[in-house]
Amino acid sequence: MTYIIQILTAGIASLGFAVLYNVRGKRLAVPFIGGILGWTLYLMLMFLNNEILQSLIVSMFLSAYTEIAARLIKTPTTTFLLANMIILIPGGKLYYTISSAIKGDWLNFALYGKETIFMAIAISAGIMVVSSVTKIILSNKK
Amino acid sequence: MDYKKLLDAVLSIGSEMLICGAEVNRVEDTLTRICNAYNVSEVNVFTITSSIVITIRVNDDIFTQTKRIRSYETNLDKVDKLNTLSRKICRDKPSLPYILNNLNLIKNGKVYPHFVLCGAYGVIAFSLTVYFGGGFSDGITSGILGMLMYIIILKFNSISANTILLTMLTAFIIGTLAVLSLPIGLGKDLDNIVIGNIMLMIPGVVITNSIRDMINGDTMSGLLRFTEGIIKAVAVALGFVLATVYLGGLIL
Repeated sequence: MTYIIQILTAGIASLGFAVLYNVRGKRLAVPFIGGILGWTLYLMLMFLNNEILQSLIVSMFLSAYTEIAARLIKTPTTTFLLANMIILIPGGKLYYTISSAIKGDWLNFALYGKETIFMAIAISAGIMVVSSVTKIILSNKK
Repeated sequence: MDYKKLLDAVLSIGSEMLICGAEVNRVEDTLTRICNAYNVSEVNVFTITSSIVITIRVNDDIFTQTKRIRSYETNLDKVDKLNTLSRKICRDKPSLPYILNNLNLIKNGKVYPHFVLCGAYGVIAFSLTVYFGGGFSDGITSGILGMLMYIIILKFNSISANTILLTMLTAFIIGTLAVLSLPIGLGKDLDNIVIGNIMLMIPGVVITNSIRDMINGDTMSGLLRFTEGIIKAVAVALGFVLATVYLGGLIL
């Protein structure tokens, strides 16, 4: 049950951010479905027991998903990518990092700080791999 | 063809794209393509997040124009429409009035009304709080705070003070309200309420785009944007943490 709620809220949050970024009409379905699929995949990868690796794989999946959706609907990839990546952004970890620093708990600061940075790197590495591969595929087609 | 006016129109397209959240790479590419469509023998575009410089050479004439960009407002619908417009320009090479006309239409395009955006803030804060493991009542509290945050941001937009300071102040106010919601019995888990709201303020677009810029080889603009994003993200977290740790320590 917790998982279903998490998956649904991931979809709704992505949808909400798409609204904030002024994505309109039927296109709003893309971030919603992306959020749901992305978090389902993340939960299915739980057996890896490695948040960073999971984030990397989900980031790659979401990038590929948004690249394909953007090509099908003929719109820039940005339109969907930005809203979909929200579910991976380590906002919670950033908060714990800073709050540990303020409390003077440097051990936890290092721990959370490290995880925040690694997760951010994992997300961007995912985007990087997929966008490079897409460019190669597209340039071969031409 | 009046190339000065063409250049002006092209720059307007480019700056509008940057303001609305397109990557530097896309902007440079679009501007180059449009200029090339009009028989220009050489195009040089240099874009960083806060400025565009473009020089074109037509036969023996050289034209240069710059545009400085000071504030951003993410609007991916506009990016999409500008992209379509620029494709059309490259294909059909329309006259200058046509371009300006369409550009104006896009600039004044539809945006969601305030109540929808305010509602979206609430819904996002609610779902992210629940997503990160908060209970239903925490979600509701977080949602209400999210809507208040939108109103505060809207009010602060008209004040011309340091943006980072205003961001931190907004975060601090929302954090304080989150702390105060606990004794009233509205929420149970302070951390999750706060995290749901933090996510609304963290500049996700800026950071994601900056990384994409750097990957695309635009290290300069990527770094600029990245630094901007990190400073803002830390300011947001700091604002919230100051409220929860110090005030929370006093009250709870």
